[in-house]
Amino acid sequence: MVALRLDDKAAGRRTPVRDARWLPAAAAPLLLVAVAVLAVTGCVGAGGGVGGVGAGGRVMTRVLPGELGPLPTYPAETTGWDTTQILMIYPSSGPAPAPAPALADAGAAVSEHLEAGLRQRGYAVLASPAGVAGMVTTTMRRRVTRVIVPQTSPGRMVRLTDGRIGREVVFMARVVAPEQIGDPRAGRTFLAAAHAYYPSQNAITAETERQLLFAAMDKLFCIPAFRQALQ
Amino acid sequence: MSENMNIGFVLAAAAARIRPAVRRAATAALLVCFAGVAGGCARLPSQVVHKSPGQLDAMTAQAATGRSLFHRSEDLAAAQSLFAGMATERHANQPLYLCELASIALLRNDRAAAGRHLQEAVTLLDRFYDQATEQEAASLWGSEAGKVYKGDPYERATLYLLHGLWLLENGDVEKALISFKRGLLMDGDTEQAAFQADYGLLFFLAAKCHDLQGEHEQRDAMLLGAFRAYMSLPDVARGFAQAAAAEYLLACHDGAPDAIPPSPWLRRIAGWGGRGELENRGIRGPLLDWLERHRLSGAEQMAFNTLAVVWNGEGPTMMRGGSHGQTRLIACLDPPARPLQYAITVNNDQPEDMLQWLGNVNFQASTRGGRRMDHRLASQAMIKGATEVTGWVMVGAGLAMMYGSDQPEVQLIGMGVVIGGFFADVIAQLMNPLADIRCWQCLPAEFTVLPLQLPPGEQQVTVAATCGMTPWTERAMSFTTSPAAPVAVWHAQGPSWFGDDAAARLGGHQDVMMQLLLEAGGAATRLDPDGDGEMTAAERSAAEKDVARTYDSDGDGRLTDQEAGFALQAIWGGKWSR
Repeated sequence: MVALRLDDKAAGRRTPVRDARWLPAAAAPLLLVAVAVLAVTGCVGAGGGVGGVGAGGRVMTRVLPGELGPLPTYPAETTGWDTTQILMIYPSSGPAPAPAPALADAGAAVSEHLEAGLRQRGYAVLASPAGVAGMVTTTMRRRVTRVIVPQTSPGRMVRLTDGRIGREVVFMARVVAPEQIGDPRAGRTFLAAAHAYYPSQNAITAETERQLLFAAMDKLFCIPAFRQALQ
Repeated sequence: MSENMNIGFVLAAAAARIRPAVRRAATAALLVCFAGVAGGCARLPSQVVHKSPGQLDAMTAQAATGRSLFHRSEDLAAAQSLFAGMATERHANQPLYLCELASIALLRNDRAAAGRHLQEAVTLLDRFYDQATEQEAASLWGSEAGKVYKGDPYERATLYLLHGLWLLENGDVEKALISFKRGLLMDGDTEQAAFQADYGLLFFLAAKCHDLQGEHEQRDAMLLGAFRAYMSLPDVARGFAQAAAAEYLLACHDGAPDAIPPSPWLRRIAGWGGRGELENRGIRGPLLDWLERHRLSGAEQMAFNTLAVVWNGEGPTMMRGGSHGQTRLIACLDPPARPLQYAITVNNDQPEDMLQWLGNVNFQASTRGGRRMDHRLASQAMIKGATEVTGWVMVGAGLAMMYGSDQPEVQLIGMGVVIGGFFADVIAQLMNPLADIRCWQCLPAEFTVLPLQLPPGEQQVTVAATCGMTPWTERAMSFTTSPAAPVAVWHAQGPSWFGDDAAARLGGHQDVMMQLLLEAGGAATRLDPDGDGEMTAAERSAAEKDVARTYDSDGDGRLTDQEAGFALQAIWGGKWSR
């Protein structure tokens, strides 16, 4: 095309000035679009750090300057769990749309850890239906008295004044009667958080994230109202 | 090329100079080509009423309307009148429309019409063979959709299933057994035997026929077939093992597992296979002993006089793919919630879990393997593509010869090449490698069944669909059991997967707002300000108001679930990466 345009120019049959203007005029919006795309895709990831939950996914959580603040303290866990209740840990991804990748990875680990904690305290905990052919028989449905729907959050990450990274993970669980499970606002919602401080973002690995999440989950058992909700 | 040269004059002059022998050869070549095309278009005398491709396409479009009437609107009367109008003549699609009419008649409880349509459809599929349309479909020029409908293996197997059920209900046990076994043969009739017969419902019903005939060994063999087919389906063995473990845990929790039997669902499925089969599926230890102790024997399995057959969801459909529409794609509609399961309550008794996966039409359709016709169509598409390209190249080359040379002979040859190119392109356009996408539209995604022992008379039934512990949707119906039939078969349409009602119920289970609070709300102290570990309704409301200020896109002061969903997508889109 360039060669053709030069030939035409030499023959004097086209106005070279018009053709010469074409490139810069069209390039301006193109350049703007390219810059915008680069800015959107590049900047979102550029400011982020590594964190989040689960082994498979990496969470690009924005690191903001600030403090994590104090966490509430609970009395030491006591006995007195009402183990006559039959529980089911319900997958939070049940009929809902697919969760974010890291949460999906963490889902199974969360269920297993919570299930183990409840069994350790003497509860009968039924496995939630898994896979496309997961089955909850009518017998199981009749017997389950409380359903626990866990929800995890990537939490937040802050850069402290001394340069360290503070990480907070929040774990939430809704305790609901089986017949009310269809109503997202039914039942009681509990949440527990755990903090950890790291010298740099690189020190935050999938394993540290998992341990932090489990630490938050373990705190759930110290919340008196949670024990009460399971009665 | 010289600009002042008249091309017509040159060509005329060149034609006059050309040797007679060459002219004769060119004429003969043209005649041969025309004869070839004319021969390709010729037809053998056919036994079916000929329909043009346009008429067949119009019928296919009407069948799609019938599908919508059947599944979405559930207007069976309208669907019946639509298909009845198309099934009056013996054309290539008539067997298919008879199948559609049989489906509708079964669900309308019109047993006489159902039997008539099923019988005729089976006869046509078994015995009717039209040489003319088969040859035409196999040729380069004919459409596959023009041949007499024979159906995919899953369609033929399902036809035999429904026909067998009709025969069983009418007391013809022997013919019913033959029909079920033919269905199994059809199910395994995939290219290069890539898939074994795994239509579990056919095994189960064949077992019932053997039981009615007093052939107990064959009955148990068929039940074993049902067990293996059932367990071979994806995720099913895991789901069974999990349910068994959960029920055993409950029995242990009550302190006496030996005295507490598993649910009828578990007892029934465990009864299809022996101890070894259960062991092969990962059931071990005391759980295996418990299941073996309580499993239903073959005789107990077959002690039913009614079979509830519920048609759930929308069956497979077909589409065309490939550059020339030569590839046939099967599309299966997934249920909106998973895992989806069904239970039946009869006359206000305890609900009973239905048997799923045994009659999963979607699964059967997706494991049909290839067809010999697929290879033929692929070859035809390749020939069509090559002919098209050849035509274009010839036209291009011919034009180049005509305008690139001053030699009259070369120009004449160029013109011949151009004409040849056009001719090749016309031939390519006449070739028809389009895949046949006719399919049985009025089939469900899955037949769920439940054997029942009921007294004769009217029965009030509720079919409920649940997703795990979450109740989703249900439908109440009634039917009458006849004391005369060895097995009364009740066909019913299950709870609809469609409509605003079903969507709203499912939408109600998603706590999008809570997820947004967790993602955007951030700090635990913000979600639970008093730090007691519980997020009360008031605390949640305050947090929601806080978040609404940021994500309320329409500025109406409140955050809808839709806005929350969009906000979540935006957050996840920006925050998550692999």
